[in-house]
Amino acid sequence: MESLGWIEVWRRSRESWHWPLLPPPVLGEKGRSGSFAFSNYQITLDQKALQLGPLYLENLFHHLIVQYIFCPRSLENAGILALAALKGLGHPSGSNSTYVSAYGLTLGMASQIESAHRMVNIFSDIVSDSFRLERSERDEELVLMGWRRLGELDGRSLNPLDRVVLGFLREFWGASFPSCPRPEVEHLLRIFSAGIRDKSLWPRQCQEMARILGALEPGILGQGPVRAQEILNGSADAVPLLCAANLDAGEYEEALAVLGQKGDLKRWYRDQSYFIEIREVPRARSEVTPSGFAKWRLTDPCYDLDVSYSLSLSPHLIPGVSTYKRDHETSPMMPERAGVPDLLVVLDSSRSMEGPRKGTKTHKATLAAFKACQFAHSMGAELAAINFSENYRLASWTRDLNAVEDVLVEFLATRTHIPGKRILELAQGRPGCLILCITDTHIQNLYQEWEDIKRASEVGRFVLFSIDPDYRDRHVEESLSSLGQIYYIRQLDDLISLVVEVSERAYGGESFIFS
Amino acid sequence: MKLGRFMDDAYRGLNKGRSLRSEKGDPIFSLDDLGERLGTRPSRMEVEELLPQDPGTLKRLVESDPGNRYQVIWGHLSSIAAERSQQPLHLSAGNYAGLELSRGTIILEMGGDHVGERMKGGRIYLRQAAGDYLGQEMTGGGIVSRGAGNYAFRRMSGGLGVIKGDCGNFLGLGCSGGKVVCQGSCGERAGWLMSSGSLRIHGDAGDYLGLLMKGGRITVFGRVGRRAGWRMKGGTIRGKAFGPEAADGVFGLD
Repeated sequence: MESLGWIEVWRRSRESWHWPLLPPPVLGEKGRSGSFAFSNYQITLDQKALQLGPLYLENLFHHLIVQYIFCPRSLENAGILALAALKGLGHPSGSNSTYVSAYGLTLGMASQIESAHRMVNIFSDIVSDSFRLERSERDEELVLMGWRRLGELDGRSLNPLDRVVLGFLREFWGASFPSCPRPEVEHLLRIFSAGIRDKSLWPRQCQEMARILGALEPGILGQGPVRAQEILNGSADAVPLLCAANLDAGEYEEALAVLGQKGDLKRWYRDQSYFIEIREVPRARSEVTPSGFAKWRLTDPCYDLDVSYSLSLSPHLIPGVSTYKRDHETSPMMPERAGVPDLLVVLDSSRSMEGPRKGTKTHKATLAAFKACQFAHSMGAELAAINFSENYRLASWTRDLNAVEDVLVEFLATRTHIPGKRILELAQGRPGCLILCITDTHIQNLYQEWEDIKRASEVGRFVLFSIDPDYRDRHVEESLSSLGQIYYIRQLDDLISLVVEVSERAYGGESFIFS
Repeated sequence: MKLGRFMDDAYRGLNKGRSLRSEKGDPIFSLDDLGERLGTRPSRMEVEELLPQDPGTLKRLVESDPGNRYQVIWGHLSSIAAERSQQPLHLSAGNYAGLELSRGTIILEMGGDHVGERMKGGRIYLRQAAGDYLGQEMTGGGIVSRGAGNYAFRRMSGGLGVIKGDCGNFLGLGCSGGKVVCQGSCGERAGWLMSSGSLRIHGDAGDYLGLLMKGGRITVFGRVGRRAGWRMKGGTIRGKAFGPEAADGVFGLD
């Protein structure tokens, strides 16, 4: 392997693609059969491949590079392709699909996810190699060599999926690969007849391809990880996915599973919250500063008249002629840095909140709480959270956003018992903190905990978001109104915007304690 | 990085290789693909906007199976194909065939539901009996069928419908024009709420013939069931023989 000088081949390949920012392959342990593994790219070269010489390796590196810089390139693109592939495979994408944990994937779902993963990879293989093929004659030579090797492995034992793809590429590229008389080849030709350069067509092309190839028995093609830069760089966990905004939790988890990533509720909420904007609008100060002199007229107040200056210019004071005043101008100043209030989120996760499905009270409430926590955290505030039902989960004052999110994301699904004593303890720990309480106010122990909640609202600023005004109790309503600010939410979508508004006001430079 | 810039960078300093063939325009890959873009119940105009002029694509789409989801789209496509074709369009079967057809001819080997719905012109021949809602809301053109299910020619306001065999209940419900000929027998409530037009039944008719009818003509050459013309406010009903409780305004055939 050393004689091949793979580092030199890698350098040449990167140079050929104008030095994309990709890490060099890291050589893993040598296998028993003499195979080589590049651990970070998760590829293994067997003896047969090594015997093909540096040209084969160059083709492999070119292929990898184009996948990382062209298709699918990013986790977002790969996610869109994954969703399209799932759709094409006939995956039910109903809005009522419930959240399924990673360990709860059924066998059918797991096999569909595996199939979709394969489809994303095959699609990206076809697109990136078609692109390379058109680039130059040398690239064409390399591409054809790579695919010819697949055809020569053993023409008869190729599985139907591989045979159809090779047969299609034979027609599409006009290459001398084994032919395939199946009708799927014609369908694939139709799908790619529009070319591969229009990125907006990729999801539709991938979906159609999955629809056609999904039923075929898989073979060699489509194995290995999805080639997205974030996965390669190890930052896939932290990348927000725009395509997740419209997905239910279960679908989101499946789409990420197709990409080989673990999607959980916390990430689902987090990805959605990234796309809610909270504007930081600090209150600007303005200051009056003296500027030059201006004529003093009879209509101006007498105290504005600068007598000494006027007399220094003329011995007689003639109004409007030899009378002067000092002019002033108002200019904006840098806003004063206000103290950042710490944030305590009290979230109801009782059964009446309906659970973590898209559009439910739990979904909107948790999403709003996530956003408020993120914003407060970014402003330097400390956070605490109480997630309550009959029991409660608690995260004490911390700067660890993850710990708080872990508490918020849980759905306890029992009765509604607000832990007033804990709220008071936390509020007393940070006097002046902002207490956001999101509940549907079916609180069964409100009067037992009333004293503690009342005292907590006096220590900090208590803002209550009551989600279910239709069932509100008049006595409860009167009691709660004495605590502080209360918002009754009629439309669930309003909840997020109101929480955002309260956060904006609290952290946007206004002093809320005395407002 | 923008795709254009990426391409420029990729090709910099290289002799460009051959170009793969690629077709211009917005391609339609399949009926499912079209359905994904249009939804399940698009209007005729929406379908026509996306559909390319290429006859091959249209033929392929019409020949594909719409399943349960995209039947309306397929119906529109069948009409567009028939209108664009110089020859009669032969189709095996399908619900909504000839939906909003305005000209041309469709020959259906087997019947389905909603055949010829809202058609304005042209002809539809069914070699076998149609399902329910044959020629519903049609305003023109003609349909010839071996038989029909329930609700045939419901709310028809123009055109001609010929049923060569028997048909189900509610024939010509709410008709406000057009002519319907049933060469076999029909079920209950034929001509219910009819306000205009003509209904001729060569066989027998079921109960409640012309129930609540306000206008138009119903002629039955066979026997009529009970309560013919029940609460009718206008129009004429003629029959060979009427069952019990027939309305006063019904006539026998001379």
